[in-house]
Amino acid sequence: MGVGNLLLKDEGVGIHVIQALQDSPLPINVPVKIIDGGTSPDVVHLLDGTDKLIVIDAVEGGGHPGSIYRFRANDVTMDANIFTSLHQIGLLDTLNMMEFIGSKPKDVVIIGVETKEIDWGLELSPELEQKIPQIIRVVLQELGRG
Amino acid sequence: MRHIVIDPVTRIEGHLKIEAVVEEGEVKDARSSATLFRGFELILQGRDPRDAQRLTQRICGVCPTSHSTAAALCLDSAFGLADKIPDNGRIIRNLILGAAHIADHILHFYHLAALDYVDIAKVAKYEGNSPGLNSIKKFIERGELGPFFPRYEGDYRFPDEVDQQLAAHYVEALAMRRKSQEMLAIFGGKMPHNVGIVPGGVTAVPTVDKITSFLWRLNEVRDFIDSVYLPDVLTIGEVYSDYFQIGQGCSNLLSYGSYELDGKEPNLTRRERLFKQGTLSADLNLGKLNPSNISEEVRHSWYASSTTGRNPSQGETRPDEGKDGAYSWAKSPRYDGKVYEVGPLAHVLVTYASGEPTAKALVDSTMARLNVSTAALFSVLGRHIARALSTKIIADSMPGWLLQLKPGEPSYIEYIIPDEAQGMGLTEAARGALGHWLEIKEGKIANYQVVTPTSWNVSPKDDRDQPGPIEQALMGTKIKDSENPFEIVRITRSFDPCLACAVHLVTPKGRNLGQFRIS
Repeated sequence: MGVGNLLLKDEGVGIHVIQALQDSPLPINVPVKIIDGGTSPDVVHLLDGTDKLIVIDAVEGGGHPGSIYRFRANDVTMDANIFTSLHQIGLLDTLNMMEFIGSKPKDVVIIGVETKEIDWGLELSPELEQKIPQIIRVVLQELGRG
Repeated sequence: MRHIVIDPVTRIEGHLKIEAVVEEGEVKDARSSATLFRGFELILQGRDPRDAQRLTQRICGVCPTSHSTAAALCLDSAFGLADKIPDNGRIIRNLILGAAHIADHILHFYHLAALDYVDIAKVAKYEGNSPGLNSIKKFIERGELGPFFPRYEGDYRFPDEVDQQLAAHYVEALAMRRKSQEMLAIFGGKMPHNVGIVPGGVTAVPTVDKITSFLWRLNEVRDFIDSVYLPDVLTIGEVYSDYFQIGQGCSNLLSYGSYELDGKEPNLTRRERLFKQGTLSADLNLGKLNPSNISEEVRHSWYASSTTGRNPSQGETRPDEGKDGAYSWAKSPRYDGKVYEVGPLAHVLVTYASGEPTAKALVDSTMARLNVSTAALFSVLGRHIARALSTKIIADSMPGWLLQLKPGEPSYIEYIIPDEAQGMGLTEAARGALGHWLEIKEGKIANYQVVTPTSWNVSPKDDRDQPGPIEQALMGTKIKDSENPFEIVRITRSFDPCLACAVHLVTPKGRNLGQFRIS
């Protein structure tokens, strides 16, 4: 699932990756759902019955633009400072809430991409644009981990 | 004197800062400031007008469906289609928007607002078999309190078993939100950011399968609204009845109306709608809606002063960060130069005062049950009650709409994009009046302006220094415990503010994720 705001340049990197993934062959033999989570905190209905959730999102992790991170929700203190906008807090709350109805994905991995510029615009910064194939490889590897 | 700053106000959508000056236990002054910048209008300029439909949905994940509705109405009017949308298209739009609003109202009440009244920590004492409650209990035992904290301590008034029952409903409400989102996706294709609503109608055609699958989910959701949601709101109303006297606000209400009941009237201010259009004063005096009375003032907002006082059709978004005297990124929308509150309270009471029989019966019976007058509805609890009644009115209208659908007939009409045109789309988002304004030149967007409901409610002081609706609702409020200012957050959250439309420009502090870097 890609999340982020497509209108805020690098903030939308998760959505750009998802759009590119839709055109990539998936080299594994399990059903995969590609989800555009957009800016919504309300994704319970999309994640139901998911074994493994891979979230692709923009982060401010202190590295160079385009740096790729892989972590789990409980690896970091989830507060407003990690992610680049506020809707992801809703996503994490949503995952907690899914636990209450017994439908939380068994495994949640977050692939974070360091942003360069967050401002009005539909294009990614060149540093992130050229990283898209690599991010997709990371996501596909993650899928392969089962 | 004590200066209380709540930043951010939690359990709302987006980022809002509330400052209150409390003297001798009473709020003397209040400032509500949106700390996020809204400027997406700038990226629409020069684009194909149809892009507004796709892009405005992306400004917010909470009301994308309302933005898509407002954009479609706006483009319909610019393209000369406002009286030509096929009935199937008109009705399916109602169903998509309605499903979104039902989900949103349930989310707001159970997952954001109720926790101000329900002590969910008491679930730790629960000894029983409910899987939902036991998973909350485990969660609390692990010390992971994400969705519930931070919160204030003290004024929780229910006995343990009522708190636990309401917590069980919190879990049940999650399932109902999911059902409503599924309803939305049946005709909208997907949620978030539906692809169903487009200028000219909708992309989905009604089939018996879709109608049936919508209906069985709707029946379950209606049952929840009648037997759980409404009774729970009344339970809070009975035990926290002092909140009928708290958070009155400006007492001027404004509704654009929503849900099209007629497809032949092109003028949105005159069209027959489920929720009626108009203004309402505290003595229930109705006024006709005239959109040319709307202006946006920026004296205390970080926008260029030369842009103040304009109607949104001539609006301009020119940021002026750090402007003297400014304290918010929200502009101050005003109607006839006066302060107006928007939201379910406005659209339900305007509909009530218009004499619409269903709304009238519902509001009257609720007031009788709680033994309160219409004046008491201008309050924290009045807003929650109106939101619940709005949910019921929408859900109860849907079976009739489904029956009016005609499989085999079109739900969309072709159109030509004009070189020069103006458009206006007015509807109600879950949190109140939402307007889109468009000007097309040489076949492209020359100007696009959006005035969101939260802009009305969280607006800062205007050009004449009149405080905005939330600011007015806070002023004069008695604060029992300034360490735990429940009153301030309860008042603020009763407006269901959503600042996700106002995305960004908080400077992130950054955080070192270095050890997780893989490339």
